[in-house]
Amino acid sequence: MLISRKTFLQTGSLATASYLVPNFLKAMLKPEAISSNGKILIILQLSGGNDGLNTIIPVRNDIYYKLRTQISIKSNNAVLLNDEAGIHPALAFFKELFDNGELAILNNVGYPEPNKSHFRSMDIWQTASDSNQFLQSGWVGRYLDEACHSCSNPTQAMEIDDLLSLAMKGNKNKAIALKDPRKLYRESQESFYKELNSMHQPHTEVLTSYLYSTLSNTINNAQYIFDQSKSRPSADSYPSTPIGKDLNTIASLIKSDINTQVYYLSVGSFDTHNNQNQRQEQLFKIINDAVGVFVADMKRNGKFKDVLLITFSEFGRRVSENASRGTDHGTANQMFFISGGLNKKGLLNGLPNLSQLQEGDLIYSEDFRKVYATLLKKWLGANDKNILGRDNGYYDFI
Amino acid sequence: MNNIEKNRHLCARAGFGLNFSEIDLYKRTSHEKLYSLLSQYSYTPLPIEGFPTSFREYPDKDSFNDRKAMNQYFRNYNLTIANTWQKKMTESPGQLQEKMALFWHGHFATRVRHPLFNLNIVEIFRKHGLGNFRELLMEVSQSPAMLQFLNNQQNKKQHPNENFARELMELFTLGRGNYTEKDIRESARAFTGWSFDKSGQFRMNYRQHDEGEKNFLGKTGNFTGADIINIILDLPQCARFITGKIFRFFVNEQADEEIINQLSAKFYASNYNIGKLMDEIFLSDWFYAEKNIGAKIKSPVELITGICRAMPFESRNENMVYNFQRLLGQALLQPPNVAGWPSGTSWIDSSTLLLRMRIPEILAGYRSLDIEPKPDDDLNMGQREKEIIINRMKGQSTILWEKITPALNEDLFALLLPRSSEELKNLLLSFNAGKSRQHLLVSILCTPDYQLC
Repeated sequence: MLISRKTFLQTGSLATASYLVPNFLKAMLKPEAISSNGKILIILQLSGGNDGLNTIIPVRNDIYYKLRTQISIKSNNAVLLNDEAGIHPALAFFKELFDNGELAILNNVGYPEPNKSHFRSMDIWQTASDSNQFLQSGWVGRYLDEACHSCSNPTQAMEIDDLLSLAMKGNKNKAIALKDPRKLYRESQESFYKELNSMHQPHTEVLTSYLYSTLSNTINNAQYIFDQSKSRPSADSYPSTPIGKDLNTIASLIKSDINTQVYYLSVGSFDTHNNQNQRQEQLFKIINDAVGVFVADMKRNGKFKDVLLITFSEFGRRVSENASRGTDHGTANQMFFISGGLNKKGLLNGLPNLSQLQEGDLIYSEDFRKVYATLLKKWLGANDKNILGRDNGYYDFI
Repeated sequence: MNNIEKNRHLCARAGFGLNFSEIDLYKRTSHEKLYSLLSQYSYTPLPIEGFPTSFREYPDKDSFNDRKAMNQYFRNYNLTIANTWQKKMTESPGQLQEKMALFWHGHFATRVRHPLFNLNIVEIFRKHGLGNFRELLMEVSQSPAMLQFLNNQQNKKQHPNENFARELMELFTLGRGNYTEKDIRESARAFTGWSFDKSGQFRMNYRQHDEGEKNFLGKTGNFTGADIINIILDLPQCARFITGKIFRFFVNEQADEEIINQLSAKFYASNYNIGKLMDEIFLSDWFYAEKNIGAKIKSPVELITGICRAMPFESRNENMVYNFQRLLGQALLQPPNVAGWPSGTSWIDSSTLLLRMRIPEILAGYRSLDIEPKPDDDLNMGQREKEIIINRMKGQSTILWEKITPALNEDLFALLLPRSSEELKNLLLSFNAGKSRQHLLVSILCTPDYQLC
């Protein structure tokens, strides 16, 4: 069979040996597209440990009101979801989503032997490790390894930030991080970098070629992402908050032809040791407003059934309030799933059991890795067992 | 390989790169003689300024107005420790001592808030890092930083906590596959009662100690924690595990089993003399073999300390170096977890590579930096942190060019890069045509090739 030069350049077999391909040739390669099913996952990290009990409020639970005399949210202030549960009043748009069947909530998600250090617990969530296991790759990064054998800096996953999170680093592939497509484009397209990138001699040492191929991919991908981001600028007026800008960037890329399947962004800090209610309300308000515009934008462009936005936090907080009208580090927490394509909606399970605590903390009932398995398998169509290293079972909300 | 190339390789690994204000030394000194200079050390404590270094003078918890004030104090003190140590790494003629301390900081990785605990464990690394591994291990195991980080304060007769016992074997001495879960449970009992008092001093709490019989690695007895450590050190596997890790850190990430076996047999026979092991490595012929040249990606601390030695500067922002290291993923006193920092290609992604290639230009004042660090809620307790901005107002740092004038006239490629092709040389020379040697130096520091050592 005759293969055209272009096809040849785009086939994976060549690209696996891409370390040995001179950069001027590689510049002709487009970022490799994996066979995408068109589904898009957006991961919103609530940094700092969001207080889940004041997010989905157990409005009929006496223990909750007894342990939180200062900071509990009264049932007439909460936006009621059903007889037992209310949602924080600043998340009014989430109630709308709930009513439309576009929001699912999984309560009491966590892991065995919970760790209460922000950094460590975040690593556990980002790497999908056990509590006493130390992994150097993240779960989205390993998804890239699995789904994308032939691209060394793929745009299939993208973090909206200046720096890349561990979640996005695989063993072979790493996602790309950018706060703003224009900023990355400007920084990567300098003549010095382009000249380095255009050297003809192949780099034979493994580490040198790794460095030069990272540079090359950064230059090429920054150009590709910037071009895509300009193709369909948003008509909607997103709030000028950080998350508003980030979701605006994501929306413009989703509406373009870019091959990105996973977007990662974070908002915080939810580390509310004192005066919790004021801080949490502020943060929820900016999330609520930005998500509202984003969902409307996705709906208008016919994308909402293919977009799934999820939230998580490194831990929830203690059931009892502290003496500073705040809460200290806790354990299990809820996750939100927002999409026009849910199979199951509303509250997916019961509220946490407040009468059975472990040293004042919730005892998790849902393992976050089962959530990841579900997202990987049922949303992204990937082999979750390879990525997570074991069988975690699945939920059926998607 | 000529003398200067050998000395460059030696300094990159046994230290933090060539000191450009001493270029004459490298030219006229053999690598054997240079090594004897680099490996000389005498222990003197870090010169901490502005904070009390003993518990006696340390402010009481109640003397702070609130938690926020105390956090701020912790933060500033820890930064002072990191910056003082960083300066030592940059300036000390006994480079190997500081490089070794950095290695042990990643090996016995702890992440605690109390500045005196941090200072204490760093001083243990600096004091015993080239001494005897047995003493080092014992001191670290009884340090407040380690006892606190691995929860040994909660390891009590009635409720053993296995955290320290597990990591002692898995990460510090033997490696996976060389012990059983039962060995962990039994040895955890031996460490019950190991704790520290209010002034951070090790204290044996006999009431919490399990004096019963333990079965550990095939031996039976009423073992104490010290017995457990000695039983582990009796195993040649311990010497092998440590030697392998030292080889990958100092020589090549691709282990050479034959050499490691030879080294570790000698290390074991010397009763764990670390200094001797390092002599063996740096005075060998194979250390200078082609395959070991440029075979490592510099960690952020190695990279930035190397830049500081090649292009010395004064900064009005005392945290500038620390900030760069943090943005690149390696802040001193903040290893990610007990397994220490990752290595090799995991340091490099699109963002970190571009940042690495811009830092020399930022320092030289050619460009500015505007970047938002990842939040650190363990340190900031939810307070929002500002973006790190450097050089928006020019003149935050001043390069001390006069210190390195003689070096600028040398072959800068040979002094800075493990290897460089004619194509790269021509590219950099033509890019800097008509510009000063200073510009050429900065350009070389900005290449992907400079990330290797």
